Amino acid sequence: MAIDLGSAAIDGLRAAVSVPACVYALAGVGLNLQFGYAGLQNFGHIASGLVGAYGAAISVNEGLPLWAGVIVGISAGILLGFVLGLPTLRLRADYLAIVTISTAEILRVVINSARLQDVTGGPIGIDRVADDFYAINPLPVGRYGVGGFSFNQNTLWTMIIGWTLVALACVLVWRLVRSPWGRMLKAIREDEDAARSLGKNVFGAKLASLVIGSALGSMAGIIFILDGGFAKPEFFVSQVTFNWYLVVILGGLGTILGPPVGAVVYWFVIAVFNSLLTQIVGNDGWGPIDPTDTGAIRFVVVGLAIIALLAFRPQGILGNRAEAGLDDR
Amino acid sequence: MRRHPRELALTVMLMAVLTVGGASAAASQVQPPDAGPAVTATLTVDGQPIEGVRISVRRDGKDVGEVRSDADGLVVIPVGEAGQVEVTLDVDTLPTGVTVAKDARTSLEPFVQETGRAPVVFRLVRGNEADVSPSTFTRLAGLTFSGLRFGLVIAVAAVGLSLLFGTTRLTNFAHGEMLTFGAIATWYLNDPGGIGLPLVLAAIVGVVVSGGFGAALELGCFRPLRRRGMGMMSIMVVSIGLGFVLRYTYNIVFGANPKQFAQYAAQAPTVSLGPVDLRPKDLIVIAVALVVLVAVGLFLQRSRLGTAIRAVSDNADLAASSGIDVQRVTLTVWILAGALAGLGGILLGATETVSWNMGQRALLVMFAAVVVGGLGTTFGAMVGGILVGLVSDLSTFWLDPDLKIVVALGSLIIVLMFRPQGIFGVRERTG
Repeated sequence: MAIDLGSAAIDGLRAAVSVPACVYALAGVGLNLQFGYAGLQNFGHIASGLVGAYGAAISVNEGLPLWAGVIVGISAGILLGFVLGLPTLRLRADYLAIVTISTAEILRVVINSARLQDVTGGPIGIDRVADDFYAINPLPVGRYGVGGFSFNQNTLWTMIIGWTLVALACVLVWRLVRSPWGRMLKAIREDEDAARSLGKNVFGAKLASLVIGSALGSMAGIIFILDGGFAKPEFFVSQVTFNWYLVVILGGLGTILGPPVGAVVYWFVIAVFNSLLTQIVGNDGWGPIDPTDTGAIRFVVVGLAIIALLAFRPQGILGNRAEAGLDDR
Repeated sequence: MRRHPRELALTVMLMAVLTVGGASAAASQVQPPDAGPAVTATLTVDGQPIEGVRISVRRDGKDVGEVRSDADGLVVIPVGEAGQVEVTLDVDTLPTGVTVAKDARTSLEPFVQETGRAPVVFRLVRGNEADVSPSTFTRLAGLTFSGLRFGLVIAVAAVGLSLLFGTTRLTNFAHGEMLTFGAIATWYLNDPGGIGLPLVLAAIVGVVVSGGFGAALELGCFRPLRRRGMGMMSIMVVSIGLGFVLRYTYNIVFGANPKQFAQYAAQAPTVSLGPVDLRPKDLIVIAVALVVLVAVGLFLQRSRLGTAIRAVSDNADLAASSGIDVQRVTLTVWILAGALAGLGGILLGATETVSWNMGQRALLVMFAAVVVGGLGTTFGAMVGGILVGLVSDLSTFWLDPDLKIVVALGSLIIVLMFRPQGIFGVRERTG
């Protein structure tokens, strides 16, 4: 059996610029502001994607235009940031981790509930969300690109808008962290008590970074459902949060361009790996590995990558070790 | 939404990447391998498949197809091409005693993707509830009992989580996988096609192996990382990565389908205790959990090693300067935590089933238990476990069973808002 490296490379390149990569980058910029700059452990970041996506999808389903749905979705993301932050940020740091992952799970189970099928679509989800978005697509119908590396007009349109948002989000974070407020954020991450004793509003700064990160997460959720045009509960499982952690740590915690770089590298590696694995395992399996195991193997690799990165290169691709701030927290 | 099939296939693949794990494993049971747009449904009542129910599909008022559910309650209706369809359940074909749940619909309108299958859910219940269902009192008593059983099992597993937090300040996100380890190890020891130990013996060996597993995690992963000077926040993220590695390794090795122990799998409820009929194994599970909890409590209060563990929990530096070997105490706690989590997994596996992701599902309930009781307090974890088990099981009296976890986690959040230190914790604030 010949291994086709070329097609694996094309799969990788394609995934590296795809909508999911751009969604990971955007959510990663938000997570980086929370975890990388402010040191907040939000283990339920996927919840912001969920409220963004479902805020938009439910609004469209109830007859609102998509632009209004987008506003509803992002507002839901901002609200989620406040709801998570207000009760927990005054408590010990690990409580935020437990409350956020619990909230994410609560939201996923609730939208999945058959009882709410009329509103959320239950396990089926909501479709035909993005018709307005495709209607304003200036690209003529067709496929763009070369060979396997090509996209239809709607996916390309989603990618253009998505990556533009990623760029804007990076500029926003760059402006924020270069400001006095950004320096205070890092001071809080390094030594919260010292920052407080200098009269800084530690609680306010943490809350703001949580809310901004959550808003960016909700935008990521909306971009994700624009591509396929439908929202489903199974998109928003907790594992995705930890893929985002890997992306942010891989790119470099506390760096402006870390999340997009991490997302591009993550999706390139995952897609190449997946392509090769599928070729090797084929339809008959390879040793003890069945064709159905490839998804699980990918997650074993993700887990190993998280451990290895934190142990051997906690600053990721772009960061420097001191700035990653991981050694003493 | 017109899309190129290949484009869509890739999008679906990427989405599968995003969705992973539990959801796709569940879906794969419903979906046979042949592709093509179709509507699928699995008709069950209380986990029992319902055969012979007619489901019909119409599009724009024209019949597309109809199928009767097979012996597994499974229905797959190919619809030819993508688009909105109307799926109707023929109420007249339901077996006697089964009806559609109150407020649930008998007709749904899913949108079928070009390459996908649209699962639809009809909520069915045992009909004429008033005639056949037990009285309110009996139902509440039954739920109280099952909640107590579940809570005790969670308490056994969560004590280790709390001890680990107390001694090392680590919130261990791999604790669920330690629970699964005990259940899976015992399943292999018990498997008649393999080693074939009787379940009780397999469970004892399983607990010992789980303790060794805890030691291996400390010596092979966490101690070296602490030596490297890694901060506790990073170690917490490492524990998540470790959880990923273990959980999906179980998925590959043990398989995606839940399995049962070889003995006592299907036991009739033969013990009458007031209004509830119990399976003998339920009583054994409760007795084992109670004895172990009391033993752990006595060990911590009375023994020298237990006192040392509590000393390290209170203040590690002070304990070290009083001559306590903190590294050794930490290793002991990992062994204890591994053994207790493993035992919790075995007990959970005996009452329900053994599956690769059972620990992931139990993890958040364990968190709820330790936070409700007070993070780092042993007795808090015990009481918290029992409380969370009771509250979440009793909630199914009013709510759907799948919302049980919402109640458990909701109680966690409410406790954090009003009494963040938990029931037994000491007040501690930052900011």
